[in-house]
Amino acid sequence: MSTGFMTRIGAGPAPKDGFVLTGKPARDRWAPQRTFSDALKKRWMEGAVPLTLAALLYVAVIVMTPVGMSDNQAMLNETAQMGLLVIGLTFVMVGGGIDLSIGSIAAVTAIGSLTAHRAWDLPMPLVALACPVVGALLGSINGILIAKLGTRPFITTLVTLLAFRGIVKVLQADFGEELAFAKPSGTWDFLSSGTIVGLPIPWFIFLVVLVLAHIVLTRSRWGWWVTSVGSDRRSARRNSIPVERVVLMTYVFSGTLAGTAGLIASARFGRADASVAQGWELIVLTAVVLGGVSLSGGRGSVLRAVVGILVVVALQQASIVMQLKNGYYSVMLSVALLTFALLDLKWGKYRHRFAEKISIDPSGQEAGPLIDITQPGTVWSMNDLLTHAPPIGLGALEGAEDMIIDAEGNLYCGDRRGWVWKFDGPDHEHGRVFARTGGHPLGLAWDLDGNIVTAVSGMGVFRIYPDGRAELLANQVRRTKLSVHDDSAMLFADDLDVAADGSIYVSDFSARVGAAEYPVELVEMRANGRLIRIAPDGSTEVVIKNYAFPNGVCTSHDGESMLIASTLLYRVDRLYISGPRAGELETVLENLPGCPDNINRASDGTYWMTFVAMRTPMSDLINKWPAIRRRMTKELPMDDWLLPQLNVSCVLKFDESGQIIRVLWDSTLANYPMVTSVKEVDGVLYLGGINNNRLGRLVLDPSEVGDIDTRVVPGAAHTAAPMSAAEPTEVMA
Amino acid sequence: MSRLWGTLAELISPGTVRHQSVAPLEAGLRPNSALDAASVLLDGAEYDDLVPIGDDIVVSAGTTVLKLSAPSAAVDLGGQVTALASDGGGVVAAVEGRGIVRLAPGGHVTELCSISAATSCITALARTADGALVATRGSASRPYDDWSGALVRREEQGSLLAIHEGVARVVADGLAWPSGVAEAGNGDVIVSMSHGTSLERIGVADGARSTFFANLPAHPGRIAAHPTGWVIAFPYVRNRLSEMLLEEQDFVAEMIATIEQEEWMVPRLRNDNPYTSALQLGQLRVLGVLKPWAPARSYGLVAVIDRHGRFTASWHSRVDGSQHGVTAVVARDHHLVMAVRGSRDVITIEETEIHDS
Repeated sequence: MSTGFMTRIGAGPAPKDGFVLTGKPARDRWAPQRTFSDALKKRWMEGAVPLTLAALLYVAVIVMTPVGMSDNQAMLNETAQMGLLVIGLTFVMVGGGIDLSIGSIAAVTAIGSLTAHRAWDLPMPLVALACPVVGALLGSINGILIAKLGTRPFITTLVTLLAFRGIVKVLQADFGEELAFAKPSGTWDFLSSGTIVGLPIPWFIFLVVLVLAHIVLTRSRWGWWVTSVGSDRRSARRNSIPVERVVLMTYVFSGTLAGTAGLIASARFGRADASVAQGWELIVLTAVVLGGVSLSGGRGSVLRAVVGILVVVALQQASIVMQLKNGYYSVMLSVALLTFALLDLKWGKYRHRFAEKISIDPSGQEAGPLIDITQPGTVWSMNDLLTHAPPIGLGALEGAEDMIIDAEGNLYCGDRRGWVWKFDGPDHEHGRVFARTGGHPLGLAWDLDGNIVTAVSGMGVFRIYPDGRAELLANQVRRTKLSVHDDSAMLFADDLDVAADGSIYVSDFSARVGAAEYPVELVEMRANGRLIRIAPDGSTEVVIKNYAFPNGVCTSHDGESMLIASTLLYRVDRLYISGPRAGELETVLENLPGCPDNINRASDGTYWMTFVAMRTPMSDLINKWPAIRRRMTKELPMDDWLLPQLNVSCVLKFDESGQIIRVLWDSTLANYPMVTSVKEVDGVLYLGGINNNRLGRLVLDPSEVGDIDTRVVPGAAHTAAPMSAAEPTEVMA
Repeated sequence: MSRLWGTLAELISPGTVRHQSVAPLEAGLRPNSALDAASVLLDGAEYDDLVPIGDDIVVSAGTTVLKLSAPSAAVDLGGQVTALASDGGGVVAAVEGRGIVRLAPGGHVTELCSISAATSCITALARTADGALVATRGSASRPYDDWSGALVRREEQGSLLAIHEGVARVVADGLAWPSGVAEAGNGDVIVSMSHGTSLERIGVADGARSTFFANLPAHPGRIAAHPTGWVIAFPYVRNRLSEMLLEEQDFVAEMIATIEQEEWMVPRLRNDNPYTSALQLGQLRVLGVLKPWAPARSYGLVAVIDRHGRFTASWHSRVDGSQHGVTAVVARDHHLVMAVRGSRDVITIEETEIHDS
């Protein structure tokens, strides 16, 4: 057994499919809208829509214009050169800034490198190496202004855009004549037409930078810092991230890449006029935004940004091939930039809310005819047998769904605050918090060693030892393959019972919602739950998947089967766990007038069960209309939702054959507005309620009390008396 | 397809999407629990309407009419008494299936108007300033107690009648279940549209209609004069869920066909059997407590509206309260006397919170 955070997953056989119990058509297995919502909530979706649209735009350009394979070379050259700028700008923007001066920085190194080589006669390899350094220095001017002096990124880089362009103009004016004459150099030739491993140098540099940048941004500490600074500066600072240094470094990085791009541009074209690299910032910015990098920081990836530049380059190539005037290209770029900027804003802001809105995907359900409990003279006829049961723990308890009684008559029960109470027997007047589990302890049972095992909603399954120590037994199962939704956590362990071999059967009411959102399950009406078995070695396996709201679980009197109540399907089924029919499901009760909850053994060889809610004509009707329930969940707050009548207290007794023997009610709702579990011990029926402020203690008529001790696990070779173990059993790690 | 567009529009700009909603109980209608503290004058019958006669008050209950001072001396009028008005020392009563009758102080009953329009679903009677008798008729095709039947079918077949010498003249028709009427000066009456959740001024002579108050948070019922304006009984409060469901016509058709009328998801006067009614989640009892702010199926509300159309005071019995379904109210000596059909009481409460306009 694990003492750590996550528990063991077993390798059991494939689970049985509980969907057949719903009687619904096969298409109801899938909830397409919900799956879409699940996908929308994934982190990788944040760039998916802009990226998909960018890819579509790319395809549209290729298909609708004469751009073809012959343009590939030119497009890839352009991509390699602009790609460096894109990567740099992505870093700056993920870090929450913007850099408009990259075009000018590239121009400075483009003209500067030509000047240094042609006018100043500096050795070319040195010039080539100096370009990135000069870019870094210019970038650091931006960085210092923005990070250290706190100026606004937009205005700062707009100013440096003009300032750096001024340097270019000065150089061009002073050395215009020398610049006009090309001077041979092996370095220039190598940069423009050389190859490394078969790749042109610009492509090679771009690919290396791309891979490194991607790894740095997604896998390195510094990359995470950049992302956190961009998404929330204040939290980043409070988490002791050196915000200023991180911001400074993004501009230095962007400047370095811009400097390199300038060098490559000079090597390709050798252009020596002052307007080199003019307007690149708009091209690069469009590409980055098309690639789904958020304008508000914190979100973006260099790989996606590169897809953006491919689209932009394709647009550019199309405008060249179609011989459009230069102005059209700018207009196209601006329209694309505006559209995607708007999309970025709305998508980033509303994606989660939208996913939440469509996350409830109801399915229709037709129930059988509703038994009229108001008819006098039937087994169901209403009475007030529960009303006057004296309370236990009144004023102390909050939401004790279930309870158990040990060999000495002490009572243990859960509490919605994450506690397990102990009330001293036999009068149960004094109680104290016995163990703390967190979550909300619901079903309780004795294991073979006399310890408590409890299903804790929101936490998993715990074992509680006689000294009050709580140990996590299981909180996860194997994730369903190919499921978008991660269903590995036991979100809502509800009830459990122990089988003769010591394994624990737990109902996990929903693999999708936690306890606070259980009404969602009552509205959605889908088979979202499952029955889980925890083997004696602590490993878990799903026994029945796609189970509609499994709730009560109870080992049968002969120990060969488990009785399982399905709250949504108004039925109880029997799962054989040993003997010749092991693995088979059999109907015990169906078409009940209410939603069954916990089941427990009675002393006379029958079973006690409760209803957590009553079916009503209106709730049955709305269950047939999934579209209306969908509208209800979208337009109305949860408090207005129409549900079965949850303010009920109904206890019933049935036998192995599914015959209802007796029904007990509190029609006044005065003391027990909801009864969710009952346990019979020593002629007393204890009443628990998940929303009640008390437990009840109803003394049964001796004529209906048998001689079975309901605390003993049926069929087990030997069981220790509850809470008898002096020392907690040492379990294997 | 329009649903898809709606969903997409909601994604791009949630602020532009509008869903219908119900006006909240606010300003002069802010909830309190005053009605639950009222003193009970009579209990045990479905008291429906009441009218002051001299120093006494005459109350209708089922097929009978009785005086508050002598409740045991009830007069049976042979049909459900659905509305009352004063008539000198006696009363005028609308009797379902019989027509409008006059009950003299001595107990002598005479027919006033027996034409068919006056024999069913008269929801309120009132005297105008010149002493003429006006009546509201909830529906031309449904009996008095079929309020919800007309609501779910969205029928608007009500009318305002002026009754004179045994003849009923239709002043206005096509009304959404009018269920209260009172003198409003200048030859007008003020009429409450129960299904329309509004108050209208209607000219008795020409039938000219104008809205006095639209989009009320509750279904208005009978109206009585008040020193500052009028006092209105609201038998039902609106419910967001039921109004949403009633927009779904196929669903409503199935509801009408398969479910008994008492179980329809519509506002009602009281809840007799919680075990057979569906629940709205806010009504869940947590730790034994029913929250007063839970969505209401039944509610108690009486409010004073001044002549400018402002609610100046209101008395409530919230979801956890017991005085639900107030069907009539009269104001007398700084007291309100109410017939509470839902909880089967006649109650009175002192007015303490009235502010003069």
